[in-house]
Amino acid sequence: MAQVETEQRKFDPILVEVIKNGLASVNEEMAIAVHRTGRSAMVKVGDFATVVCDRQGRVVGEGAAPFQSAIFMLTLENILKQFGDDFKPGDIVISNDPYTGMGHLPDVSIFAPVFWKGRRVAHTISYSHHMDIGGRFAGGFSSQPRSSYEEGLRIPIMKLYEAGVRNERVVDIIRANVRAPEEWLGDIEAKIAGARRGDQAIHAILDKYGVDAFDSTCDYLVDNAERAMRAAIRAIPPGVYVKEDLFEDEGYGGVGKLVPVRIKLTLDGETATVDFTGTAPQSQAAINLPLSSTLASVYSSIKCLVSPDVLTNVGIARAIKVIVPEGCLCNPQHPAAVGGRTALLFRVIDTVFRLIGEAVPGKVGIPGEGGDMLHYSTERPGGGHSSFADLYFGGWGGRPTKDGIDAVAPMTFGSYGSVPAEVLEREYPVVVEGFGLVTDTEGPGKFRGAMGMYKQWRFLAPGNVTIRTNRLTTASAGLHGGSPGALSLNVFKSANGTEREMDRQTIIHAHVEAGDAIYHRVAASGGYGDPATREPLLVLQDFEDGKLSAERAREVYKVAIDVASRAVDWKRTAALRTAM
Amino acid sequence: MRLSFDIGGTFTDIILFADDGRIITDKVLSLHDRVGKDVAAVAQSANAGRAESFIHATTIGSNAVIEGTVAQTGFITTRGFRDELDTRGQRRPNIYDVNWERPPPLVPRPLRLEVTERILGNGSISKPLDITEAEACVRMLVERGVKAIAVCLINSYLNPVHEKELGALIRRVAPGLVLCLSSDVDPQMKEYERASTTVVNASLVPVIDSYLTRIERDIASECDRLLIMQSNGGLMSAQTARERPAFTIESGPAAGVLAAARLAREGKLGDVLSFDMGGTTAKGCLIEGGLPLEKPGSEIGGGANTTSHRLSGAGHAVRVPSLDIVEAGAGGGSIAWLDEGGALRVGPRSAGADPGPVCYGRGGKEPTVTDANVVLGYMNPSSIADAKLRIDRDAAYEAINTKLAKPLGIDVMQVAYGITQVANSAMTRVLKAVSTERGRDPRGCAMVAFGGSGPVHAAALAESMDMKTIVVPIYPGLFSALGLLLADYRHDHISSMATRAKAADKANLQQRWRELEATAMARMQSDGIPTSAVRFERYADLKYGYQMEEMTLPFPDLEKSAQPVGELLTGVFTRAHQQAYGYVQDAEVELVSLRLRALASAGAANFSETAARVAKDHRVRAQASREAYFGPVHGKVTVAVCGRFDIPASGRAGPLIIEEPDTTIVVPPGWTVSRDALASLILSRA
Repeated sequence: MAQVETEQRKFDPILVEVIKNGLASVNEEMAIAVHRTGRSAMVKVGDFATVVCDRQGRVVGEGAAPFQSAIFMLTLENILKQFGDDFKPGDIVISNDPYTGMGHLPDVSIFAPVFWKGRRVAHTISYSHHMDIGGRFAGGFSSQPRSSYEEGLRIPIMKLYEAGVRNERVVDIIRANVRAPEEWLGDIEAKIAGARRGDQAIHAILDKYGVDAFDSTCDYLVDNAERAMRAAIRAIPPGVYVKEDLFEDEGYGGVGKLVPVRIKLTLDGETATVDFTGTAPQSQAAINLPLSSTLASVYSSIKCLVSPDVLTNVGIARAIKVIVPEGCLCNPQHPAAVGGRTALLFRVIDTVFRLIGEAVPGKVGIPGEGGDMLHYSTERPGGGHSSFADLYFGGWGGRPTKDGIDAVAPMTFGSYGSVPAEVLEREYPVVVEGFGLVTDTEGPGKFRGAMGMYKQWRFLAPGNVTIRTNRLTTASAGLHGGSPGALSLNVFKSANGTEREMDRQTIIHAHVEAGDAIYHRVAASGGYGDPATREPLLVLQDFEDGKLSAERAREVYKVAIDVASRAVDWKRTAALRTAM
Repeated sequence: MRLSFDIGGTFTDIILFADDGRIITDKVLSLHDRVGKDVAAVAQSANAGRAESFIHATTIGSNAVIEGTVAQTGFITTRGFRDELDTRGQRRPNIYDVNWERPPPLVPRPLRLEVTERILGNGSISKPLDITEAEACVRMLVERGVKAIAVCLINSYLNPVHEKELGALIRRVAPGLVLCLSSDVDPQMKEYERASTTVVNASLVPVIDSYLTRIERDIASECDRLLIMQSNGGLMSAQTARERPAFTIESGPAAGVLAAARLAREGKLGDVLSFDMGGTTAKGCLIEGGLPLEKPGSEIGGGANTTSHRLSGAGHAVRVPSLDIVEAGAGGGSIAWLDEGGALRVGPRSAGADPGPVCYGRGGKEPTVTDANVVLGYMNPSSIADAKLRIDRDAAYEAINTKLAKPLGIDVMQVAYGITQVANSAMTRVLKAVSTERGRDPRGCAMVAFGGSGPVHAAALAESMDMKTIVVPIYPGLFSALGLLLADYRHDHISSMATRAKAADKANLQQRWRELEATAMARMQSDGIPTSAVRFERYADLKYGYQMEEMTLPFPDLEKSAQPVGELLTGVFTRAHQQAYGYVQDAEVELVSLRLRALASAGAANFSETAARVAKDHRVRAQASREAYFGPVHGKVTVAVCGRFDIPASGRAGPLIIEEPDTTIVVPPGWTVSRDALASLILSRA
């Protein structure tokens, strides 16, 4: 139990917890307002976040996933830098600019100052993924654009409302540039509704506890995060760790076009320094990862070293120094295109987790694969356009003391749901022919990684398909002796019965005719620890469950299974394991 | 004579209404294999004659799922979909925890089999059911020793023909097995939710059957029939419960909310928030116009989620109509501790009932919310529960002092007060979740507070919610048991439409309603209800085509309007959508499902009679007082301690403490308390 020096304490140890619960409630109310009133499908599956920031514009509140909290830090800094003290009640700032802190153009943020008794005492910010942002391709996340200009409408940090009055010229420009402008503006209204709820709810806290308790609580929450983060870093022996992974595609396809993602982690007992020097230069294709997303990936990953109930805020960031050379893949400069950044984002999170895993054995596992998506668009019989984006995930890799979890979004990321087959089939000319785990794909280990997850769609009308994936040639490696998981796999199944593997590209474009099907498998995740040390009964369990063949049990796990009696052959297993 | 028994974690609450006007309350230990006998013994010793009914709130279903003791169940689905019970829509509840574990599916993978068949999204058959393969599947499940089979085929909510075919096959090949078809149990869109609900139901049928059979045998000498509370706040017969065990998952909490709703109607309290705080959890529900808000389904086996009430995915979906109750892991047993940063925290760990709070003297070492309430003088420092439970205030004081006050360098009373503040802030989130987070203003509502700890915390919570009125009903600590005696029969039936509202056909709709009513009526009759006693309520689930979630709205009376059905439904939906979300859209409205509620009286008691009985029985108690601490503003004050019937209708000013056998009611300074015609205590402040 902590012994606290009372004279040093600048916070009220009771009110801190009371106000923290209050802030969680504020965030929840904001999130509900955005979720309920937001119109686009991406909001409904969970691609949005809201956070409360303090007087200084620091993220303090909880509620959003670590990655989604951290993503706001850079934008907030730039908004406050740009406007300084030039805020009035009723101001609302809008931006989707990846070069001043946002993620990619479809993610549009809404920022609002909170005034109380005439003083600016807090702020709120939220983003949600809009279904379109203009540009060459509907949806805004294609990898094909060669520059930001092709990707759609870029909205620099600007006031959408000044003292409660909407700038109609800005609205006119947006309306003239995006597909389905009413839905688009509806999503903006949803975020503004969230900001209004946040404003009221923060007022309720201030009315009750006053601004001093509020400020000191924010200080405590930030300081506590920093203290916890530094304590975690201090507990790790100083050292330097380097990891280079190969991202298999520069965006235009072709096997062998590998681009390195190189990250060096230096721990000096006080600070973690994460250095991207050596990572490939920015790509011509839209796979680049903007700086804010790189930072959020790093912060939210390293944050896993501290207790889950320490909040993800700038306190965490203070203990972490990130060096990303300008013009590299992970800090692209304008006009680099970034719409298809997501695959690289998961790769950075994955690489940072692995570095931590080497620095602190036994602490973290492999965060997992996913964010794969199939986008289908077709002409409606009666005219008009119909399209869906079907997003789904692989699963977590092996962990130091337990298996990964199949079929769930990577650690640090939020909770995203997949769209039920029956909903898709009701609304679109498509049949989902299966959605499940693939045998013998797991990353083997003492604790195994998630299995590959497949989905197969059969299309009932001609249309265009875009598949977003990765790990087509570079597998999710194991950790501490674990083995890699299976690669992503894409198969085109023609109506006439022929099948062909599709190109190993991170973004695959294809035309489908009625009756054609596509099989897509998300990559499996690596295992943790030597598979030959896995508990044989767990191997048997996977065999019994049809997740693992007896051959693979023998070859990879060195466990002999007597198939007839469905039991471990202990004698032969011992022989297999000692023969190694 | 009627008797209710509500099973809790440790004790089972019993209330007996004798025909001669006596009300007898009792508690027995919650031991599933003998609770029937113990309840029967209480009835017998009451000497009140044979009971017309025993009414029961059960936890058998939820416990079996949580503890993994459901019956071995097989699952048959369309090729390609057996893993949906495992992957559960890919959601996860705890977005911060990298050590999270997903609770295992109720059906292990070798018992999840796939058949070749396919119905499309428009209900047409694209592949017939391969009956040879299906029979092989069934035989394999029989060989593997399953007790029940759940069937969920893709798009069966639109066209159940293959499920029915498969069902007939299973009955032929394995006549002894429990069989549940998803098109019977939950005929609604979204395959995971429907499959999960069907599996939960099937796997519980054998469990609840043997449980109810034992209880019925044990109570047969004392009563004519056994009724069971459902998650929707309505009663069903034990026989129906055997077929629809998934409907019992939130049996106990629903009974308490139902009682609060009855009180709101009878006492004309307007809109109320129910607040139920026990030893391990706090629960809230919004009651509007005397009716609790409902939700189309819930989840089981995932534990209370403190991160967000929006996030799900921890447990198993159970899509049956349920009262919209939100829960947090904060109760009298929640443990107070200091985190690494030196801030005071409460929960989520709980001392539960065993060992319980330090002051119970049963080996608890860590200070809890109840210990704080004792130290502050809110709860009796020497004994509670009619002197049946001894309280050791010194031990509670010492625990708070050494574990919290000394390390913090703060006075013990301040820390104890802080514990209640922190616990209240967590419980405030529950009340906000059911009010402001649903777009409702709690300030116009009264709070109905119950549960063993609810009335201790109610006033402080009301202050933080800016609420002005609290109602503490009779039997606040046995309120769920009381709710059982106040409930009506209710059966919910659903029919999937999946049609554009504009394409809805009046004749077809009327046919569907007739079918639903016939099904519900048959169910009521099998529960022993005469046709004339049954009334129906009609609802429709509507949404814009693109939306993922629908709204349940009263179905318009087709006879009373000359408007085309499509326009009527579109009008109902767009008005509600405008009100809830603030906009309407130029999009097609979809009629997702029809919902029928069949209701019938179960001879329920009411509050005015019950209150009159309680008033007659009350004992005069000795006047007493003790010191209690009400925070830095009021400090320590001497507070009168009295009983419910010492409070006049004209009111009495706080501070005041009212002790009852089943709870303590705290009236802080600034509040007044009066007693109304239903013997409720009304706490109010300016």
